Amino acid sequence: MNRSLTVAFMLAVLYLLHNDFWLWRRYDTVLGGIPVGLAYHIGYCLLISLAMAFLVRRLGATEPADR
Amino acid sequence: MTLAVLVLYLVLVLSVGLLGHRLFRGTGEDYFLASRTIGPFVLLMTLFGTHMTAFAMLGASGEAYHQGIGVFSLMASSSAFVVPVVFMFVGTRLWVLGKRHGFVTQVQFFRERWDSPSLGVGLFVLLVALLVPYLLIGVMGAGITFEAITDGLVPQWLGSLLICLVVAIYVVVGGVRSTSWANTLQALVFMTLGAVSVVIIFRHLGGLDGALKSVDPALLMHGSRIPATTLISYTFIPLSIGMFPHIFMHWLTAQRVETFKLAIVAYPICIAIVWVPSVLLGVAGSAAVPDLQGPASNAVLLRMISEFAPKVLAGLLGAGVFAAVMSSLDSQILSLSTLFTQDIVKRHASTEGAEERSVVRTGRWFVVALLVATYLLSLVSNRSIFRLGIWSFTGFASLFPIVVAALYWRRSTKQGAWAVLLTVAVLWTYFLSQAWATPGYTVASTGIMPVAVILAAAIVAMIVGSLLSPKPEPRVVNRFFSDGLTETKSKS
Repeated sequence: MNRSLTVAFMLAVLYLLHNDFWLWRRYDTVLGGIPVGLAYHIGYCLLISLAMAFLVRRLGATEPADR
Repeated sequence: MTLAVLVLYLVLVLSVGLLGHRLFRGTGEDYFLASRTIGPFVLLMTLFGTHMTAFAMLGASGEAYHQGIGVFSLMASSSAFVVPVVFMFVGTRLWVLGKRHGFVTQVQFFRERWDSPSLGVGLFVLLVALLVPYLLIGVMGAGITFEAITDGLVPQWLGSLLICLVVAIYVVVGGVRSTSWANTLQALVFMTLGAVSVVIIFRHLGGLDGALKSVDPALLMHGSRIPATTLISYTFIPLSIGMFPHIFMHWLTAQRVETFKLAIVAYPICIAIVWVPSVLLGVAGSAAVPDLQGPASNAVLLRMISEFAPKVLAGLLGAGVFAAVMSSLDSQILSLSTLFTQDIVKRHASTEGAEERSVVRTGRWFVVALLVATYLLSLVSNRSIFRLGIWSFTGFASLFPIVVAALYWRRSTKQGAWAVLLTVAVLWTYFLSQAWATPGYTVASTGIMPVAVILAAAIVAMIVGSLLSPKPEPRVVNRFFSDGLTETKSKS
């Protein structure tokens, strides 16, 4: 898979994961009282951070003109 | 005690802001862009501080009070996803082009990208019109909070005046470097205070589990109060960050393009640090202080602190709110001053060959004039102006296709950009008029936010407008694409 497709695929998956409809009717708590839906989105923020670290490493966050 | 903490905090911000002046080099580039020397940590903090308004502390807890934890996925994690992506694919490219061509404002960039001075004027008018209500809300919000936290000891007019004075002094003296340093301090303050508040208050309420046991279970679910269509369409709102003039200004201050890396990676974590405490306290507040109706719920955090925390925390929370207000206000004021100075005065007045010092002086006068005008407007504005703030985001987000087309689509034309401006102006006004009379308005009551419709129309306008107009001249386009900046990536 080329680089652009990898990026597009990752972003599409991240977007889909944002819409956690499977948790929408759950109100149980985890990790000492955090509602499961909120805990999921805290984890989601961490996942985005990791994904961005991967993309930055892969793409370099640099442009030819700056080198 | 509360007042003393607030005053001490303002003095501290002022001191940090004034420290930035010690490095001032006396040039326009230094005043408006800090000579492009801002490092990774300060860039992250200043972007975060500028983007987060007092809403992240007071408004978010107020919304969570009524709508529950869904507020986090609706407003926070959508930003956590969209904002770093925009930094990565828009911010870094604008930085490279800005450095290469010496751009200072986004109006300069768009004007030269499509070789159209009239487009620059049109964009200038629209950006300023969308930003002014946002400024007004910050100044009014600070005054109202000051009055509430000091139990009326400091009236709204005086609170707003104090905030304007502090911001005016460090922005006038140190420009964007002082602004960035002050924002770094302020972002750290409101990130820390949210965490401290949640620990102290939940300890008093018997722990997180205990506090949430008495809450309506519907508030602990995403889907009970927020329709799926709203959740999906709300994801477009954070695209506004790609068109904010103050964010553009901070992007250009980065030392190197690699400086963006930390902001791209750490932004989602910063958002979680600020929003999780606000949302949890808002939800717990629905049981702890159950008597708040409508917009009064925005005071839930203040009420909980006054009832369940020591007095000093009220002062510190006030400092956190001011941190959030000032860290946005200073950047917005400075970016407007930059737009006026660079795109109106420098371009239209005969200032060719004008001394750098004169450009800086003009910029400083604009900062003062804008703050005076905003302050005076805040004294006569009705509180219903707060509803307009949300619409600022919708307007900026709807203009996002312009920056994407400018950076990634060679065939895009000034006619396409004009079509976007007109489409956004017309639809934005239409939806605002519809929503003004109907709180919680969505398109045809479907749950779809107006931003989704305006954005879709703007994309169509850009494509149709560009394809129906003559191809842009290669000499103009090549300035922005000739080194393979975009083509390299699209071909690889």
